[in-house]
Amino acid sequence: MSKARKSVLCWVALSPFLIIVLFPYLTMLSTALKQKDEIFTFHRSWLPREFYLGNFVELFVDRNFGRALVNSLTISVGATLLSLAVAIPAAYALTRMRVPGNSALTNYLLITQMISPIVLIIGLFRMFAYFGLINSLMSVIIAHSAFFMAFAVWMLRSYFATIPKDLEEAAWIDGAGRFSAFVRIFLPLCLPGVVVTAIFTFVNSWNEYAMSLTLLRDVSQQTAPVQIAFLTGTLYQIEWHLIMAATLIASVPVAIVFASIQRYLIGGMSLGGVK
Amino acid sequence: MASIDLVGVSKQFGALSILDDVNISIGDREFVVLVGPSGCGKSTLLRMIAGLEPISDGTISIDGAIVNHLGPQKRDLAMVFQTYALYPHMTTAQNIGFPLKLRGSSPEQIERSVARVASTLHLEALLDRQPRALSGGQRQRVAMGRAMVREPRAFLFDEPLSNLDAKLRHHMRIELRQLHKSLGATSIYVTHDQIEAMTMADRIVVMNRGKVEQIGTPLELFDRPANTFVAGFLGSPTINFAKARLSAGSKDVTFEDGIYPLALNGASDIAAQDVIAGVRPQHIEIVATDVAPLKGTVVLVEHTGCETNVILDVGNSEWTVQTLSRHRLNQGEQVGLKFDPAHLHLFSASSQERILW
Amino acid sequence: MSAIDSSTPIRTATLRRSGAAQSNSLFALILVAPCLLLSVTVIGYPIFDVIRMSVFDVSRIGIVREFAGFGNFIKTFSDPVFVQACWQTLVWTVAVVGGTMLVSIPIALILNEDFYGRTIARTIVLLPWAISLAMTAVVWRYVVNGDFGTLNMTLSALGLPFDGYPWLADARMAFILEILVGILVSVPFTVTILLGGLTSIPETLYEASAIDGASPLHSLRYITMPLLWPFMQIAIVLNVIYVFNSFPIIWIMTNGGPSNRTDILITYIYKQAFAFGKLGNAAAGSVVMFAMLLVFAVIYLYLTKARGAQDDV
Repeated sequence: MSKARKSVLCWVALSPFLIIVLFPYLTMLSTALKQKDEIFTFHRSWLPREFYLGNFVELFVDRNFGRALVNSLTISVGATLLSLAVAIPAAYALTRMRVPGNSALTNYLLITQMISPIVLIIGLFRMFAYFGLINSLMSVIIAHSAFFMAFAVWMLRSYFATIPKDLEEAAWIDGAGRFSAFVRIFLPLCLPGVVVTAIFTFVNSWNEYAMSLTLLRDVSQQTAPVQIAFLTGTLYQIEWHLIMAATLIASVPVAIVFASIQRYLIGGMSLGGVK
Repeated sequence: MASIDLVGVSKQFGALSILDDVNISIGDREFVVLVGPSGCGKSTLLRMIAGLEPISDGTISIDGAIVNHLGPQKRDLAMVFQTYALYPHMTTAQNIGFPLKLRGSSPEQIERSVARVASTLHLEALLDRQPRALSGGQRQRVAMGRAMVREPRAFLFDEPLSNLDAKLRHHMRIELRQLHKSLGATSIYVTHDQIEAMTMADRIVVMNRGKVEQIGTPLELFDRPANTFVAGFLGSPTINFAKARLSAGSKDVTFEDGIYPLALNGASDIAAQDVIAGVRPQHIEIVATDVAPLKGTVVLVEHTGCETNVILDVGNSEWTVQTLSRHRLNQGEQVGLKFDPAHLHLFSASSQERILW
Repeated sequence: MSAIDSSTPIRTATLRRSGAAQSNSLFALILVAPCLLLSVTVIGYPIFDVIRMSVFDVSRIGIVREFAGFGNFIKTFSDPVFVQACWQTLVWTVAVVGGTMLVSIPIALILNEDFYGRTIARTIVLLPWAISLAMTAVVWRYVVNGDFGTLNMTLSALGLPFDGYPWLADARMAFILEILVGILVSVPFTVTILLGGLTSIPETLYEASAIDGASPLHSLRYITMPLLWPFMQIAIVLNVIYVFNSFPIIWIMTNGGPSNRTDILITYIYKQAFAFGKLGNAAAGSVVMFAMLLVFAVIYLYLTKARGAQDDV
């Protein structure tokens, strides 16, 4: 079978699923660019009458959606930095040194990775309430870091393990101390792995719903996904044109970033996430 | 340059003993090769000398000072790794200059030293390349350069040529040896390849199962192996062994299965005993059956072009005879085997140690 | 004394060595400590607190009163909505995980083939992973909206009689739609794991089997499937864990309604805690879920260990 024919067959076979995946995106795009009255009529079509950008303006100016985006960004950046700051040293120790209780520790991390925060949500809520951190972005940063860190350790470990130990040993013999060898040799080499892990953590944190919903009760502190879901629930007539515009803004940049690392995920997951 | 002394060096990993009571004294400017089959502990020993592996017992000293507790950074040794361990994100020049940079040398100083080393190793044209753009032999040379640049007290080599193809390996062997001659640097070289050991070493340390079997110059080891292991390890094709009986006073040797006795002109007080007799394939001549005390049946003839290897059944053992003449022999043919008794090695059947006769 | 003296050098050497080993371990522990501390505080403490609340009488505002033994559990188990939610959780988990595997295996097999535009196809397949479950749920809620949704719009345009059909009003239909969305968002992760498995199968095995006379179908049956099985097991267990806990899809699309007919355990617990203030009940439900999660986690550990052991051989 020629490659061209095979390609056609493959695309045809995949098409039902691809259509279902893309359907919501087209919906988002089509709706976000329509004026309000166009949505609530009987003669609707995919194509908007004109490319109307007023929904975005309304979203930022009247609905203060920018605030939600800033909250989301603060939390995601904070959680990514915090989880990497604790995960990198831990992953290094676990790959390169003899940590007492190594296997117990890895199993513990693996199990925490599987515990969904939602099961513990009452406990989490009470703990952060005790520290007065409800409605503080800090609470979500800490909670996200704790729950996403195990996976970060896991992914970093699999990347770290691919860097030959010889290189560090050579650096030691060349006169580099442990820290110097780590910074000059080890870190530059595993930078791609660190970046992929950081992006993955960022995306996870950006998209998280349940913890943000529960720990941030005040509208001004809400993250983008929470605010979008919130918009569907409270108004008499749901403003789908605004909601779709918001969803578009909150998901497309992240989807692009995520798509840029998907190649590494297939390798990384099978190396570390699974094994 | 420095002398290195290992006294009673041992290494246990849990209950497993990896090295047991190793004593080696390496003189200044000497080129010592540690050789043995894989898993004999030679690489571990080298890594212990480098400071990469903790020592369970005994002492390692450099120039008389014990270095057991010094980290690899402080021993001032250089090492060439089997994988070369070139830093993939640095160019050739940066790789070679790295040890100097860590010592805080000035950029001009580094550049001068790198240029000097590069010209010795013919790397001038490759200074701006990253390791992935270098061939195996070039990488090997860069690794050498990085070791040479800071004039360390000694060089450690961990199977540096094993990733090269046969032709390049031969070439690099010669180059390394010449380099050693010109630098006069104390070197410890680990390999599993007996040809590398024989051709490069001032002295060879043969190791097996975590123990030193014999230390000596290549020819000493070849001519007077201390035990069956050393005899069997060095030399290609492998030495021929056969069970035999040594008579009292070492007058003669009788091979198993009623094979003819061999008169030795020995005159010592060694008691009669069971022995293992060894003769190297190169020391045996194929002769007519009626003039030879020992006979064999031809199994196979291998022509390598220059030499001919004849594989024979001798009693219960399989022997190889290597000759320069192209014998026309048929499978199953009986031939006579002859050798100078001076080339006969005898080992005690019980201890496997050499018997001096 | 002389006997002791002679042993001294060896002994100090031993002491110093173990000292060095200890400081090395200590350093490793210091590197691991922040990670462990964060995890034990933020995950460990809530576990303890939830377990504690489940066996105490807890007031609406969260004040822990007297010990209640299994009181909370008995109250929870005797709530018909809880029992209903349990059944619905079972249906939800089995249907989503089963459906995900059925969809993912062929997709992974196709994506493992070499064809034009494979990278684009892979990217599109993985796309749902990149988007918040909450936003996916919001968009799908709009897509299937009876009056304004794009699904009815498209179906009507194709001449099908779905104009104004209220998909989410009927509990059964709503649950089916939620399951389909659940499958959609679980496929990317599953395909990723399966692709990892497929790429680990050496090409030479297929070449060898082709020479041995195997048709592509034979290769699939006798080479691909057996070698992919460990990855499928892992994908199943991980999906069970994730799906069992999945909150946003149901919460946003139907909020468990109509009349609790789409509630699963996790939405039930959330309502108990944050809508009805029955913290004791919610804690008891959480403990039940946590125990089930641990069982899955142990199965997962067992599977990965077994695989690791195989790899070592």
